[in-house]
Amino acid sequence: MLCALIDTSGQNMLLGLAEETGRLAAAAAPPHTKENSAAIAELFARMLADAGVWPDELTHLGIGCGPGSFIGTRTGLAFANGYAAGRNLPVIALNSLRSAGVIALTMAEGSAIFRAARKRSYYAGLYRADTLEAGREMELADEVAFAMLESGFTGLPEVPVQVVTDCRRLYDRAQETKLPPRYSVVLKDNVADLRGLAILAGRALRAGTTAPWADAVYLRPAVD
Amino acid sequence: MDFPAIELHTHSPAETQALAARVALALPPETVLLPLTGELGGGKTTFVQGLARALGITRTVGSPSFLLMKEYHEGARPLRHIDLYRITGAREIAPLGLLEDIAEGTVVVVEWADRVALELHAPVVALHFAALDGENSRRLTVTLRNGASLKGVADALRAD
Repeated sequence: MLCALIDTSGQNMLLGLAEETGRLAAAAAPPHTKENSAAIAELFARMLADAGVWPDELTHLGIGCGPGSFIGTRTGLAFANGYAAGRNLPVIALNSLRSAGVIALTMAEGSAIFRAARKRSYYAGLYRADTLEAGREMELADEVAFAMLESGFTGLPEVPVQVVTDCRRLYDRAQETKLPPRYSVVLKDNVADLRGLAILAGRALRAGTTAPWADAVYLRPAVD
Repeated sequence: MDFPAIELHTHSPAETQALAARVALALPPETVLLPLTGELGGGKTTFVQGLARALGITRTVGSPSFLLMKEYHEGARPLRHIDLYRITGAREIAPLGLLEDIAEGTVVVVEWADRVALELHAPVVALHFAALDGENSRRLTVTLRNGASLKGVADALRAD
């Protein structure tokens, strides 16, 4: 099985190929330009061509459904759903926040992901290795996120936690706050992680939790 | 353990590929990093093609300047081919985990390795390509670092 990956929920478009094992077989991150959303079909075709993969070799399409940039995510979803419909490919809805969570879990027992959202708020996800699939995402006002960071995460007590954010303000606040040594804080331009998407796609492929294109998720996964 | 730099010359793409094959066959079995540097058209991709062929990879290996990473598993051992030509900073490649989740025994080749500092705890076979007078003549400077297990590579290259 070979699953193409598309995530446009962040600053940079992420394109790649994932195998059933969850291994990332190819990776591309086209330079960020305003024209990328218009050129998504061309960029996707170029990714396949550079990887030496014919469209017929694809068995699934993994779509980063956010949460993240509303317009960016919607653009990627529109293309991915159209492509999947045209080629009759089953789709896999991938949580962009969780893709960062699963990678951060390779560094610590717990991970907390904060992605900047509109109006001084964050999309946040808290994950532990044993509960990743049950991970819960929420939208938080920035003061709530700061308080959560400063007081510790209820769902992640007493374990090392890697905090990942794309927000300089939250990152600086974390640096200013005397966080317990069990926390490490990482600032990234794009929270979504292509290798994490590949891991999530691999899990879905092995579990058979894919969907016919007609049932594809049209917008980001539920965020409380 | 580091080794003194080795300087080699090739005079055609075929010779560059033959040299790559010698390197491929002498590599130790553990994961190895091969950072490649040098100007455009210096022979880096030609070298990777020779390396891939020697590892038994039959797919065409091109210069993945749009793709930043491509992994091949059909050969004697995995080959991860990374090309940083378009990259201007480490933050651009952070979401890609280019040096993460590497299977044991993988040959990791990084073209334009001087664009971004990539760290991997593994023996290093660094190659710098310089074009000489004459269309196809190249000088390759090979530096071996971080591993006594690279003695086989040093011996194979000094056999010239």
